[in-house]
Order: sequence, then C-alpha cells, then structure tokens
Amino acid sequence: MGKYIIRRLIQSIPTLFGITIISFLLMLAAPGDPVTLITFNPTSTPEATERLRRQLGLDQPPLVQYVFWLIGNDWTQIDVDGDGTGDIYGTRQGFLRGDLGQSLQHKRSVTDLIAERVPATLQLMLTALIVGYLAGIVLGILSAVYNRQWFDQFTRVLSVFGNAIPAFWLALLLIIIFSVNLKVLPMGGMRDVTRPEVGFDIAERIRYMIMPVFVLALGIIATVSRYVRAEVIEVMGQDYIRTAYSKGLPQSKVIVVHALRNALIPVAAMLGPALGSLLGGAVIIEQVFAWPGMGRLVINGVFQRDYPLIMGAVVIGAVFYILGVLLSDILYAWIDPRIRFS
Amino acid sequence: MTTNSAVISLAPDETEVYKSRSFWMDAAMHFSRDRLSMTALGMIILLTVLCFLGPPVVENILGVDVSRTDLINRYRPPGEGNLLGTDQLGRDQFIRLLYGGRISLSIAYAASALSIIIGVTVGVLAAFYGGKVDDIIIWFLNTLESVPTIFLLLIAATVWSPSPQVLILILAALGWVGTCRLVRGQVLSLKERDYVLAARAIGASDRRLMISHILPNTLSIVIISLTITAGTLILIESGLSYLGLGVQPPTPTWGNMLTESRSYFVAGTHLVVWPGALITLTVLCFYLVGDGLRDALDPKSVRGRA
Repeated sequence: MGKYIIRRLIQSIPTLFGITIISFLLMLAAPGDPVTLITFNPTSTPEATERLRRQLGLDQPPLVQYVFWLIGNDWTQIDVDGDGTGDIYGTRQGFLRGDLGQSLQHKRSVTDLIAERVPATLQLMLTALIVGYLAGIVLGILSAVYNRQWFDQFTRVLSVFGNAIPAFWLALLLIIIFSVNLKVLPMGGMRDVTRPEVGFDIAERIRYMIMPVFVLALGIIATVSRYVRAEVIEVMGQDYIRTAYSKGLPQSKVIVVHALRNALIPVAAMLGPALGSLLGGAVIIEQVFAWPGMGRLVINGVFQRDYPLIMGAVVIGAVFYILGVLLSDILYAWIDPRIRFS
Repeated sequence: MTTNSAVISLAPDETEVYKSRSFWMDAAMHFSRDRLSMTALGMIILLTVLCFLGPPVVENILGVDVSRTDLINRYRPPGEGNLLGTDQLGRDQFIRLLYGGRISLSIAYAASALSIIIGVTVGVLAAFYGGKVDDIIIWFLNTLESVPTIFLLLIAATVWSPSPQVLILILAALGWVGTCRLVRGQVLSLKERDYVLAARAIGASDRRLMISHILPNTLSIVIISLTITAGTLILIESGLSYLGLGVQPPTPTWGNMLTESRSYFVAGTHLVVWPGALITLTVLCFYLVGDGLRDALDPKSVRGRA
C-alpha cells in the first residue's frame, strides 16, 4: 500500500508541472502589459514604468520569468536603476516555497489572498460532496430496489435533469422562488453582515448554505445515484446474494450487509472527478450567491486582468484537484486490493 | 456487423426473401424505435431550424425587431404582441431568444465538430504509434484533465477577447480530451485485430491502415461523443456567457441573456425562465440522443431492454 501511494505521488509531479507550464504560457500570450494595470495613472513617467517592470522581473526572458515564478528570485540581485549592477535582492520566494507573487489588483500576497478564501470554498464544496454522496447513494439503492417502478423512474428523470440543467440558472430560479417570493432563505452571502453583533450562529450559517449546497450537490446526486443503481442491480444478480436470500436473511440485511459492500466500490473511484466538477461548479455558484470564496476571487481577478492572482488560483485549484484524485485512488485501492497490483 | 436474422417475406420476388441488414441499418432501425430519443432528436432539429431560419419569418409575422428598444413597454409579461414578453429595454424576448439560439447553437456545433476532429486525430495517432508519442499525449491529457475546465476557460477568455470565433476555438481546444481518450482506447484494441495485421501483411501503408481500416470502426464512438460533447459545450458556453466572459451584449446568446436578467429578475421573472429553459431543453435533448445512440450503436448493449 505504501508503495502504491508513493508511486501515485511521483506520477502526479509531472502533471503539476504541466499545469504551471500551460497556465504560464497562456499568461504570456496575453496581450498588453500587466504593468499598465499598476501604472494606470497619467502622471506616471516611462522611466517609472520601466523601473517597475524590472522590479517585477517582467523584462526577463519568459523562461527566466517562469523559473523565478517557480523557485523565486531571492538568490539573485535585481538591477532597478539599469546601471548594470544589482541594487536589491529579489523579493519572490517562488511557488515551490509557497509564494505565488503579489496580486496587482489587491497589492497583497496572492498566497494570503487565496488562503483567506479557501475555507469558505471548502466549506461549500465538502458539504455539497457529503450531501451529494449520501443522497445519491440512498436514491440509487431505492431506485434499484424499486427497479422500474415510479420511484425508479423519478430518480432517473432527476438524474438526467441534474446533468442537463445549468447550475447558475437553477440557482437563479431558487433565489426567485425562495428569496424573492417566499422570503424564507437569504439571497446570497455567507452570513448576515448587517448584524455583526450576532456572532457565529450555526442555524444562520445553515440557512445561508441551503441553496448553494443544493445546487452544487445536484450534479453529484445525479451521477452517483445512476452509478449506484446500476451497480446494485448488477450485484443483486450474483450467486452470493441468492445464497444470502436462501439463508433466510431479510432483504434490508442482504442489501446493506452483502450487496452494498461491492456495489459501492466503483462509486469510491468517482470521488476524484466529483471534486473536479465541484471545484468548477463552485466558481460559478459562488458568483451567483455572492459566496466569499476562491471562485469569486478568481472571477474578479479575471475582470481586473490580475495575472499573478489568476495563475496562483489556477495552480492551487489544480493542486487541490490532484490531491483529491490521489485520495480517491488511494481509497479505491484500499477498498479493492486488486487495483494495487495491476 | 450484420445480423443474420432472416425475414421471411411473402413477397413474390425471390431475391427479397433473405435480406440481411448492415450494421448501420440495424442501428438506425433500433434508434428509430426508441421513442424518447427520436423525440429528443426532433426537438433538436426543430430548435435548430427555428433559430437559423425562423427570425426573418417571425419578425415579419409578429412585427417585432431584434434590436428595437421600447422604453415604455419594458418588462411586459408574455402575451399579445410579444409572445414571451419584453426585457429591460423593451426588446421582444422571443425574437432575441431565436437570435441568441442561433449564436449559442452555432458555437456549440462548430466547437464540438472541431473538438471531435482534434480528438479523433490525436487519439488515432497516439494509439497507432504508441511508445513515446503516446506517452507525451497521455501526459498532456492528464495535465489538461487535472485542471477543472472552467479555470482554463477563465484564463483563455481573459487572454483573448471573446468573439464567437474565438470562443469556438477555445471551447474546441478544451473539449477534445474525452473524445481523444475514447478513440485511443478503441484504436488500441482495433490495431491488434487480425484484419489490420492482414492489411499490413499485403503492404498497406500506415496512412491507409489508419484511414481506411481503423477510422471507420471508430465511427460509432465518434457519433456518440459528438452528441454528448455538443450538449456539454452548450452548458459550458452558457456558463461562460453568464459570467460575462462569453459573447458580449448587445449580441444575444442564451447565456448572456441570463446575465442581463439577473439584475432585473424582480421585475421580469420571465426573463430568467425562458433562456434557461431553452438551454436545459437543448442539453437534455442532446444527452438523450447520445444515450439512444449508445444503445443503438453498441452491439454489446442488450437491445430491447429499456
């Protein structure tokens, strides 16, 4: 098992580098100069712009810029005034040491900005993941048990719709129904900012989370219930299940104790892809519900052309995703020993 | 693949007594009996025809114009004169939906066609040549797949200003991965078959092997993939448009009509409902057709089971 984990960890290293390279190339292809964002000021002189470019390392060739981004430039000197000798030591620590550079828009460390926002996004994603999986598994089992009856048909329609409906549209509809018309749920945000004196209130937090979590979880419910249904139906046809029945066990026990164990194995392997779609979905859903997470940070960065921020967020998002896939693979290998040795 | 089901016919013509059907005829017959998929296919055709040919007709009959604003009649609910009501500038929503659909569907069709072409080419090459080529391509696929698509789209849409043409390229550049994997898997097994070996033995070139012998056998996967990709790309395009990174207003698309409606949904609920309903309907139909095609084209799936 240890060997398997190490092998998978090593395998994910080139992927991570690939992501940094691809996003860096895309950034390079961007028209315009990031410096213009900072020097958006009529009194700024060309000399000042040039100094800034040097300071930010933007006058370096692309490959050097990439290396600086990756491992930092604090080991080299930067020539700010252009007289050929270094004036200040570089200020970047580099991605590998946890420094993603400075945000052009917020004029703060990208690492700090992202670190502040990650908890909110994780809170949303993990809740949606748990809700989605639990509901998906339960619906899938019931759907398999009542195969071809109305409940099964209902679940199947739900799962097709769950994949086809644009999440942001569903979110808007829910807001119209529950916030505008029925006035039972808040339209967006994470808590009531007009009443800061209340402090942390779990019931309030849940009220704010109901709609975003439901919308995010729906996609997972759709996929998981479909898989669980198919797996349970397949497993139920096997000999050992017939043996269990013929021993006189009740149906509930046969399903929960005997069938589910095998039926849930492939579902564990879907955890990784589910995380990916959640991360993507969270970007849009956070925007609709004004949820103060990473997604909103990125979208604002996109509109401001804040390249260091966008690149940092993309790489961090990818790291999360790779780790998630890794975890789900390990879980899969742990449940099903056959995977480890193939 | 032919089925040898002999159809005993009472027709006097002797030649028609034993008629075997080709794989494609068999699949077409199977598909045409699938009522749900046929309805979905009909829906897609209807929507496409309406969006591409409908606007001038509708403009003439209803006397509406896609860009004419009418500030006195803003937020009119669906009804007389304006079938689906008017928006925040008093523009007729029905005609805007048709024009928007034209752009949304064009982008989806073109991007999915392009991504299929890329995916099939790369997939066939990777599997056929194997070795280093395959390793590099697989590394690239793994890399692309480990970034949630929306992030790459965000970067790409920031970097290049989103005109419909650019959007098509961006969506295609990111949409081919799934197809590529499917085709690669299929070709890996196909190239080991005896008939390929036989063709190679009589001196067929690599190009001929790929184009004449292997490619036709991936066609069923490609067709299924095309429908699913088209549906997914409509969803992604609408999401991008919604975030304000797709085609820019005043050019309507289903996605950006929703962005605009977001600010006015208290006054005009119908502005939220219709564009989204059309997106959902279209995507749903594409997925249903994809499912139906999978049943019809996959010889392994048990036919006749719902």
